[in-house]
Amino acid sequence: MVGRVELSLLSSGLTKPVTAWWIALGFMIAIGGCQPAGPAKFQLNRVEALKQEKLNSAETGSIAANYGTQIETVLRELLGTPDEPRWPLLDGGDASEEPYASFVKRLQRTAGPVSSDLDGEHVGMYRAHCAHCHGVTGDGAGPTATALNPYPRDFRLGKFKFKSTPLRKPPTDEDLTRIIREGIPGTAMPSFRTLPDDDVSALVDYVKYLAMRGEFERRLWAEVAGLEGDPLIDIAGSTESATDEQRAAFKERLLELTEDFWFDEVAMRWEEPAEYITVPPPAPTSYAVEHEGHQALVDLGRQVFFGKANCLQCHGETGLGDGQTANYDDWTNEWIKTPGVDLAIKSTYRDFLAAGAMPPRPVRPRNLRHPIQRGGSLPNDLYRRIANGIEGTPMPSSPALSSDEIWALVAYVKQLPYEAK
Amino acid sequence: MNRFWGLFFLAVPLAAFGVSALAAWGWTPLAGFWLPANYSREGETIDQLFHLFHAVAAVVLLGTGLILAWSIYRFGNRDRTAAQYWPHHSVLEWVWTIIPAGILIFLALFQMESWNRSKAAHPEIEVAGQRLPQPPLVRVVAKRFGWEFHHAGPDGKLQTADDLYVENLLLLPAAEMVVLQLESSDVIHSFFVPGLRVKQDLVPGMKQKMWFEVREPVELEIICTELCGWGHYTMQAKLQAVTRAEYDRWVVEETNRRRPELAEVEQ
Amino acid sequence: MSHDPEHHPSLLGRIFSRDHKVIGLQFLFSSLIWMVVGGLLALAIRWQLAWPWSDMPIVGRWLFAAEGGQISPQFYNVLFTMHATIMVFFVMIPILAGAFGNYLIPLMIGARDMAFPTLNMLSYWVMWPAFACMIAAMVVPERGPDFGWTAYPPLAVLFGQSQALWMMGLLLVGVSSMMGSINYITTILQMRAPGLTMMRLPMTIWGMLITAILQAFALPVLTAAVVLQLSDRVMETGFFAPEGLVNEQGQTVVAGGQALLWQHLFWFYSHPAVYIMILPAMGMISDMLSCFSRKPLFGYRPMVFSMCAIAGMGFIVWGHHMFVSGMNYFLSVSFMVSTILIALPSGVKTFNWLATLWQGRLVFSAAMLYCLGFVSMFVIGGLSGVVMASPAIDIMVHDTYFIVAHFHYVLFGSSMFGVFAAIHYWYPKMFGRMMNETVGKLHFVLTFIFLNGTFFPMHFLGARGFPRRYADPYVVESFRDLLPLNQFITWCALGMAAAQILFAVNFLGSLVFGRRAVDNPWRANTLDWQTTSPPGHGNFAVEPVVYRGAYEYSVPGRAEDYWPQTEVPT
Repeated sequence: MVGRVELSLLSSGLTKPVTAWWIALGFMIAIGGCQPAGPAKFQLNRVEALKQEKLNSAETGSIAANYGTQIETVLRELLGTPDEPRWPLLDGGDASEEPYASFVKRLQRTAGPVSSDLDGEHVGMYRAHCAHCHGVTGDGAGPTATALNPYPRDFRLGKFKFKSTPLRKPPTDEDLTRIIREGIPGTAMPSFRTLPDDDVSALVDYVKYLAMRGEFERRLWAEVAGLEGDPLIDIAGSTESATDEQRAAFKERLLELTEDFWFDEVAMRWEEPAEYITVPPPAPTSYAVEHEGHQALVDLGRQVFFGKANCLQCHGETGLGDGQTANYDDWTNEWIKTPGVDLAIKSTYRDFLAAGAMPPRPVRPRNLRHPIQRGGSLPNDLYRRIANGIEGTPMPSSPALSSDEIWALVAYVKQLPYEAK
Repeated sequence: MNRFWGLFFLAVPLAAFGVSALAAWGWTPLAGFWLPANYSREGETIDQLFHLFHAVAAVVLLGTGLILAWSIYRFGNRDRTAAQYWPHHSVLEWVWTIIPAGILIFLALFQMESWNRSKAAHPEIEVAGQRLPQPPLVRVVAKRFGWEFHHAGPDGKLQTADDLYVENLLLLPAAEMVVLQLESSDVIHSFFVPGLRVKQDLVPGMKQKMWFEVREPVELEIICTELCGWGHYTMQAKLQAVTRAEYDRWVVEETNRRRPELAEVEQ
Repeated sequence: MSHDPEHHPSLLGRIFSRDHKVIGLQFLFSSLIWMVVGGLLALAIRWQLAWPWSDMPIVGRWLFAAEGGQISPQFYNVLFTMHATIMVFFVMIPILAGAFGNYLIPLMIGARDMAFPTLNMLSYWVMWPAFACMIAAMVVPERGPDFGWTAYPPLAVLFGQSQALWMMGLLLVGVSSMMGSINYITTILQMRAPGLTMMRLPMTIWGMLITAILQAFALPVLTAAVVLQLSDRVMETGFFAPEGLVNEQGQTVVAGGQALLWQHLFWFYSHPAVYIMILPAMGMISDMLSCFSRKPLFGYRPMVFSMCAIAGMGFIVWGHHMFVSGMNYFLSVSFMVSTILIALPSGVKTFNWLATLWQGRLVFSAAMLYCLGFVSMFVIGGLSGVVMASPAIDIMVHDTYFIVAHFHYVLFGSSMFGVFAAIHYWYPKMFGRMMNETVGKLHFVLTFIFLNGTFFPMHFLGARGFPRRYADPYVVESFRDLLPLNQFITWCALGMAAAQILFAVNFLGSLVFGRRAVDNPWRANTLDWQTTSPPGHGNFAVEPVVYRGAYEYSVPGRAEDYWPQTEVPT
């Protein structure tokens, strides 16, 4: 501890990246050449734009060309940049008021460029730990994304698979925290167990920010598709040289959009997810392995698996996940359902790939003979998974099953990996 | 210039030895630049070997370095004196072959025992008068990019339904020999705990055993030291050594936590 | 047998020349260019380790615009993979065996050219497809070669076209080396000048001969291994892929192989390759030390025998790369013994070098300083090698920066210093002009200081257990306090890179502005100095006849302190 303080004093002048930058510049200029520098940018959702163009039979690229800059401006004015994220404030709100001020400050600390301050708090956690896969924009298209299976989550749909709330409800903070803390076994999502609690909760907030930003952007694209060429907003009002009148008009329209789409739709949906948590009822006593009726419960589970719940359709008779395997998840269905796209013919969707869509891969039903489940292996997790389904995937919710039947299924699934074949 | 170059080359062994010795001694500005604190039984021997080898290296470094520097200082640019025609010297050559050979063979033999204990001599337990290999306590499965630890459940056996699976947290009883079973589910990984001086590659398709004794309750870091892909650097886990009593309590607690809340007995 | 002043080849004939000197220089220039590339990659690695995830200067903005100039961990893996690949296969091996081997062997044994001049030409031009493959591997979309230069399967066979290209490149480098080594062995054994017996050969030639033999015997194994891994990738043969392996696309790989097999095959070549990268340098600096001490090389025969011993034992030590790999632990013991004992011939060589200096009359030319630097650094690199040879200690330091420190001391501190020395020493022969001595010495001093500043602290990192190949080691909480030390290392690395500008200026500038060199500026004995600088086509005007060994310096009773091998005894 003392040693490093002394050494950092020794090299305090040397540890400034900016000085090294200039020296390195000397070497690299020879092969790199001088390139225009630019800070990190949020990428526009070009897949969504293309989809809207196809849905509205508009010319390819027309909506993106007409509205791209406008949407970019709205997003930047309202939600900032990766280096300086913002959070919409109700009209008349005070930006310096707590907890808003510290909340925004924390978003900025999480999002900005990574800084390697030794003793200070961690800065830029998102780009140090998450952006490689999930991308700076949270579009699940970071540099490593194509190498991963399943693909990293695209936050912009606002859908999260493993949560304690029912379908179409957002996850709770605890759900997201758990994913970051424990990772998702069987995927490339690692567990960040060693990060400080404060960093994890800051990351949770930033992930929600990215998700809400993505939903908001998609909403705007849907909106502009119907405008038939009329401007969404006059971006002249956001420039330096704008007149007061233009500026006021811009601000007013921005507020309108914020009210209509952010507060009334996106933020509304994300309010208080904890109220919707599914609390599994107590399991039947025979759930305990040592209970004499346990085998009967497992047998009931097997009956439900093969009968009423029809699990075998996807998970297969052996539970190996080898039943139905031609389904896609919502992130892919988002665009492959667009008229004209035929997955058998690559040329029909090459434009989507060029716009940034990931090459489609069918979603694989889980191999239930593996003892570790992705969204948590505790009985309560499995109960919720069966009862609520998995958001964004073909795994449905099961309103028709009684709680005892679900518990029976849980008991059956839990013993599958160890069942004699 | 001979003085300058003599001193220049003299600086190499002196600086290298000086800095290393100060770091090993823990002199403040260089503290933390040597072996990290050790918490394992075998680690003590490994540390001693590390120091022994470095001591031998230091002697050779200083010896050759001083001779080099002196030769440069003394025999540099002697304008008037001719060099001595000295193409070989058999006695000298035998001396500096045989003495280092002796030292090297000693070092080689001396450290074998530690390696044997670390990797070859599987710990044994006595069951009903028979000495049997000690069964593994935890099954470690490495994957890109994390660690699965399947602790043996209350039945004390691995790969049964009561296994306690924990992601990236290895709980172990301290002050006793533990055996781990290592497997990899995809590429090659390596299980490394700097604080315990243990390292073992996990090769897919092979089952390795590893054993060590953590001396006292402590929390350490497990890291991966075989390149396993882009996320290699994120592949870390915690090792928590606790007392045996705490460990047993943890097994019970975890087993209970893995059960749902049960309905009241109805009958 | 003549010097051929009437030799006027066409332009194409000049480019695809079969003259060993032209080929040697072609190897020299392409290796030096690759060294710049490899060095810049090293700086990028150091950048990330000192200021993790901060924007990479200039190229960052250009290559990683979306992330604001921040590199991805995958790209970091590509950086160190390509740094090692380039430095080993495109710089060290070609510059030692290709450049100096080609240039010096016929000159030093008094031959007109190599035994197989066309094969020799091919050995250079087959490098170009290798260059193309490696560059292509780096720029293919999706994933560059990010599996480390050791390309351990299953990681390396999982996914992507880059691995196939990388393997092809490696295969071609092997073909080039094989052509070269056949040529060297034949030339040295068959084409020596009259009177030049094996025990009169300069150490440089011994170094080249033994290197060539090493390559000829070790390369087939690598080639076979590379073909196997290539077919694993392209044809899914599964030689190295274990049962049940799932690739990154989620498909089960056809398997049934053994991942460790690759490591054995790879290191069976790549450990001797370590000696391929140092034996020629050892030979060259032996010659230079003797010349600049004006004194015979001490213990010529032990020097030759210890070189043979290093080469011979070099074949049975590869297992020390695999102590903790899961290989048979009792086998490790035998590898440990051979590894520790290989320090013995290396030690004997060091003692002989020191004895060569003793009672000499040292001349501090730039080349001599690099040689002294070589000896000094080789001691440090060799001693850390002995430390790591103990498998018990290796448990702690395996795959940490201790290893990185060790092989950089040997490969940069020793081999590269040998190359610098050789360039300064043979420059007058190659180009007919002298390099600037002052700039050379300044370059030596700066490189030497920054070299130690860069690589010595890495021992400390390694002792702490700081792992190699980590894009961001500071995610591990206990390594966060090593950040300032890493920044210090990066500063030294930047300084070292800056010092190389001096070398580049000196090297290129002396081509034009260098003082004209006489035929034998260092007053050396060997045959290469007994012809014109630079030698014409055919090397020697009259076929040389050799009367004595290469190290007859300061022979008592002679007026001159050197005695060329060709001088007719009176």
